[in-house]
Amino acid sequence: MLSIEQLKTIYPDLEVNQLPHNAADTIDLMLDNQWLSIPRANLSESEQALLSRLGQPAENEQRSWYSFLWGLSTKLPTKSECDSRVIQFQVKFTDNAVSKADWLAALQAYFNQVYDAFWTDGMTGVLIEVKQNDAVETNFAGILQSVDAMFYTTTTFYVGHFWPVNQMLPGLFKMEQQLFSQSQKAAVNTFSPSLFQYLIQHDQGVASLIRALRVSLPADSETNQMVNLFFKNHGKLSQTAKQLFIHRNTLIYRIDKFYRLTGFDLRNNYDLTLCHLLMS
Amino acid sequence: MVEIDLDHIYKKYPNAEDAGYAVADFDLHIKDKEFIVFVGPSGCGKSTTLRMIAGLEDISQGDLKIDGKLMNDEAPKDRNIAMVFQNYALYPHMSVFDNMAFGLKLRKYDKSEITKRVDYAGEVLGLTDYLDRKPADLSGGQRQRVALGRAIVRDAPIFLMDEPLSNLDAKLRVSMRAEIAKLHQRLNTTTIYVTHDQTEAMTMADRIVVMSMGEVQQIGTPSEVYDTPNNKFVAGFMGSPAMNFFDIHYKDGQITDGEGLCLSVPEGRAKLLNEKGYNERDLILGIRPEDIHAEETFIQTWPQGVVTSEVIVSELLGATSMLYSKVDGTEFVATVDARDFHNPGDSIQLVFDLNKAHFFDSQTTEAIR
Ligand SMILES: Nc1ncnc2c1ncn2[C@@H]1O[C@H](COP(=O)(O)OP(=O)(O)OP(=O)(O)O)[C@@H](O)[C@H]1O
Ligand SMILES: [Mg+2]
Repeated sequence: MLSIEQLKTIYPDLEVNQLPHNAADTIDLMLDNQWLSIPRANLSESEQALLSRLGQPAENEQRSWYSFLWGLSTKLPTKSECDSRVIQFQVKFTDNAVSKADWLAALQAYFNQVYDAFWTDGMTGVLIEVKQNDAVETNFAGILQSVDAMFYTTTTFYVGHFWPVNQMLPGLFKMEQQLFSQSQKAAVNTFSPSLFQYLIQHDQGVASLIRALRVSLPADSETNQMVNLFFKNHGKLSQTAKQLFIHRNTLIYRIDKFYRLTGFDLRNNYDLTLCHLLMS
Repeated sequence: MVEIDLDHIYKKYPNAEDAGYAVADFDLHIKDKEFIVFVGPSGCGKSTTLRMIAGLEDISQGDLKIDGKLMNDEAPKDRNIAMVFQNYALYPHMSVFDNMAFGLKLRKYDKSEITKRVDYAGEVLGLTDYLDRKPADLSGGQRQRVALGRAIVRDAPIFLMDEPLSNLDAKLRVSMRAEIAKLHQRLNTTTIYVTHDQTEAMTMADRIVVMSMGEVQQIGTPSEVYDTPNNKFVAGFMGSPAMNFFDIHYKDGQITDGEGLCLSVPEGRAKLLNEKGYNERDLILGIRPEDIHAEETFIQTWPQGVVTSEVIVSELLGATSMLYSKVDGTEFVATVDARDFHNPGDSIQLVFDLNKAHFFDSQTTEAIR
């Protein structure tokens, strides 16, 4: 596929937007998470036909991420090495006039980089987020309330864990779906608390997920010691820093680094407990 | 003109049938341009009520009317309401202008209308010079204002705000409080503001609705709610530090806790208690910290009101200090002059100004008036 820049050289009157234009005199197409609109006026019939064909959102069966996650194909949906997490959403609409594409575009615009995002049925869908190197904790509650205020919707998020994109992923995704189907329905449901809830109710079904988690965590003794001491000190920074003979700010730096590396925030009790259990 | 009527509204969540009503018999008439604050502890039904008004939750029973028109089954978008929640997220890659314009673009407003509305919101919020900036280049307060701007550009006559400031630090909260009050004066929208912070309620509201466990306890102006609370709950919830309460027995113009506390009730109050049939009965005495005095002049002019108590601790707060002490095992706090310093364990004489005292029925906890 062409890049936006290449398209621009062919169609200088092309506009790039966060949202589809939805006007009769333009053709909208989605590229690199952005909407391009090209005025029909200067286009030939065949160009119009071709471009509107390109601009149509793919049916789910044709989406490589859908096929991959739902086990219809084993072909990796991306060549990128970046980890990803699947954010599942469930939306109650109160306004029939709201377009699902608009809703999804409004959600997607909150994320830096997204592998794909699509509806799986009338009320639910997934967004596959690309892990960023400089990730800071995402304010899911804020995103949810902002989108809900904009569209008069009531949304529930199920935020998965960051996993490498490989042949394990569809199986892990399936287990995440299972975790979330049993979790108490908060507006934002995150990974660690849902896993604990699941483990308390079941004794099997997630063994390979636990194994994958264990492998994904750093194994060096320094990190190990930090996590376990931080847990024993009930998440108290100063006390833990003192026992590690490092400055408090150094500890904060390491905790941030741990988050960037693993996606687990040790300042969150659930994440801390989970990492402690996995690493000790 | 926008008036909102909540006519004996009830809410029962379908998935929580056995929990009873989340909101029961909520009855309120909101006047045009009024600033109403719902206040109460966590879980008392503030958000539920707000969401019923917005149309995000069904109303189980009762009528919601806007300008006299029944709204129960109207879709949220047709209620002409703008909402601000506690949590918000701005689009990191978009300018302030685009963050505010986004919702309008979605609704396919034309460019000139969008620009007009966003410019106006920017001006009202003092963001005119920041419209090109990205959220990362703004202060916390400015970001919060952008979030408000998203609601303002909707140009709706009704504003619903659910704890919009509770995620901010204390200092910012105080300045944003004033900002929102100013905004209300400027925009003249009928506003319902939800908070669990009684100070916010006291400083911002035209009228306050105090709620507890799904039920309205009192509706009134800040001074009505503060000076003449309907019951012990309202009395204790509104005001910081909270009102002090004592279990006492009333007989012939005297109250006593059966031990060291024995006070004369001023004539007018005693007459009322007698008339209401409270002679020789147990009561609850409520007295605010600022109505307890340590100054010598009070002790001399009102010796019948003197309570001898033991100091627990004295907390200095600038010009005044909080004097925590106890009498017969009941702890209470008095706001006294900062120069009135006392050591823990000291015995001290304090005057209860019983003209300002509140009496509550010990069974129903209703105010005796
Ligand atoms: N979706 C729901 N399903 C079932 N029960 C609910 C739901 N939402 C709220 N409740 C219950 O209804 C009651 C009122 O909740 P509500 O959220 O309105 O309280 P609130 O006053 O806004 O509290 P807070 O200050 O914590 O936000 C609570 O007991 C709560 O548990
Ligand atoms: Mg609430």
